[in-house]
Amino acid sequence: MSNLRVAISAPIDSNLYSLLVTQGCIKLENVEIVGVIALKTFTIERAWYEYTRFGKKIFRKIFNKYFNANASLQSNIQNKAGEYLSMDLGLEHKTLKKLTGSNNIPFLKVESPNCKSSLEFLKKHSPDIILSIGSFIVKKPFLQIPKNGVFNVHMGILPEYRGIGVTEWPIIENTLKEIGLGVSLHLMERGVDTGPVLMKRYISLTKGDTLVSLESKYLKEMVNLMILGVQMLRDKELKPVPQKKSEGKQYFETHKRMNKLAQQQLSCITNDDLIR
Amino acid sequence: MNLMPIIEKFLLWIEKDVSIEGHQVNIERLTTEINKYLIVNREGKEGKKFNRLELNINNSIDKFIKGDEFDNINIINLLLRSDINLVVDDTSLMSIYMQLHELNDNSIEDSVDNPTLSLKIENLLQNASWIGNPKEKNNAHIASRLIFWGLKMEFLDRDYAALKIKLLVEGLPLNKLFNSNGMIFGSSFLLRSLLILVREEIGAEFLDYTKDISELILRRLEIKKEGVLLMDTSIKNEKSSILEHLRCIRAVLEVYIVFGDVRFLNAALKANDRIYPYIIKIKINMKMSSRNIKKILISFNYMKSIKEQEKRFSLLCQT
Repeated sequence: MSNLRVAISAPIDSNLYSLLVTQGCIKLENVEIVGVIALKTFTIERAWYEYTRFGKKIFRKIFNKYFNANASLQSNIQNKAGEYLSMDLGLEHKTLKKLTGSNNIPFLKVESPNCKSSLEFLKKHSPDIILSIGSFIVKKPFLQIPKNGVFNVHMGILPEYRGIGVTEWPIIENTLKEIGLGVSLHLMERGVDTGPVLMKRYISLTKGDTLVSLESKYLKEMVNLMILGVQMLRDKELKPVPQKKSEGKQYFETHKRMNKLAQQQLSCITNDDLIR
Repeated sequence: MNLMPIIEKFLLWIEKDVSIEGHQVNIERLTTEINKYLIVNREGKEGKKFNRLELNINNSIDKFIKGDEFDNINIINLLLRSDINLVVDDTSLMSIYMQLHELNDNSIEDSVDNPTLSLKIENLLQNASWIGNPKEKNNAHIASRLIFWGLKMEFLDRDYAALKIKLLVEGLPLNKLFNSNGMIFGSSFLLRSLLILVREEIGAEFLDYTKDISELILRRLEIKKEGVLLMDTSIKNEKSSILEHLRCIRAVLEVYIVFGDVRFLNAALKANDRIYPYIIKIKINMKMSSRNIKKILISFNYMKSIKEQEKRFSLLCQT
């Protein structure tokens, strides 16, 4: 059995989700990581992309990430979830550069996944699959490189909830019972979260959950689903299910008042609502 | 030196968002300025035009301000018979009057046919195209505007309106709604007319198109996040763009009302916050200039948009 050749496209060098997926894949038998790319921490293109995506919130994100890592409850919870996973997977390094260096995996910092140096690097290592971590929009030349496509784990249930803010939207739309919260592994296409669905994992709600505590549950499921997807591809067990456009909608970031409404609705959830 | 408190203060300043209280203060200010304008200009040129039509416009405005009921149908019919152009111009007192009527939220009980209006629509449609030259584009816009007001005020036959809307829809393929210049100016009236029709059986044939065009506007608002939508128009005037942008927000709110899709209410909340810095700069003076009247129309549309947004958001919170 020949090795499955995997490349990883990460948002930044120190991204925990990317580190955990890379570490998980290193441990898989008959899987070879042929290359990892990570975005340069600061480029004008990236700054603009992030600003258009998050608006003014991006300044707070940068502040919390680089200067105030322990300030927010979210980062504390996320770090804790990450710590447990890191222990499970035996992750010892804090950057992709160090992790790939200690495992002899080619590593490159790029301006964007779609830039020339990124495409050349990936083509050179001819992966069977690329794992796209983060939510950068990838273009056709990137999508055409791997033989088996590009994997992405979407933080929401597909095909119903495409786009962003998909933790809040099922709460606002009161579809927790029918659709639920969760993550979906899918093959990337040019459209936003419209590619064939490979697998889904539901996130269980517990009484007292907040939007922040829910976010921390996602990390574990996303890492596990990505690694399981690689395993199942290696074993030829994946069955992609194409999405129909009409089966879902594209969602966008919630207004702060909508966000507050979602939080209020979440606090009113009864045992009867906790079906999934 | 610990820089954290300074950075935190700076971030809070950056993050200072538009609040609903801010919108309400803005609305109160604009209402005061508009009332003052109307009272001062009762005896002006356009006010006299209204008087010649045996309308006691001063009285009507007084009644409106006091919140009393008044006979909209007769006023509108008299005006339409006298000068149809009054309704097509954003800067006419008639246009303001129609906005007043809308703000007043009184429903009109009887439907009145208006042959003058149909004739005007027919003439415009003979040389109208959403993707043609500036004159043709403007005709498509004015025709849509007339149909919308006709439907809204219930003085245009719905079957007739549906036939004409079909022509306008066929002339605007979905991939032509936006071009490199921006959104086709006046297309908000087309969407709003469609939204009136799809509520009834007569509009069933437009349902898919209406949903698709709504989705395109939603995406544009959410992805580009423009303070004011770029418009494809020969009128290079920021106030006109703001006005059309506000009509788009109102259209988005109406999509929410018709289809119950909360994404549209969410988009309207954000778009109304983004337009706030433009509205705060609007100062209405007492001049009867077209520029000033456009400011009043912007204010009316903004007030209506916030009023509707709050009504719908409060209902959503209750459910």
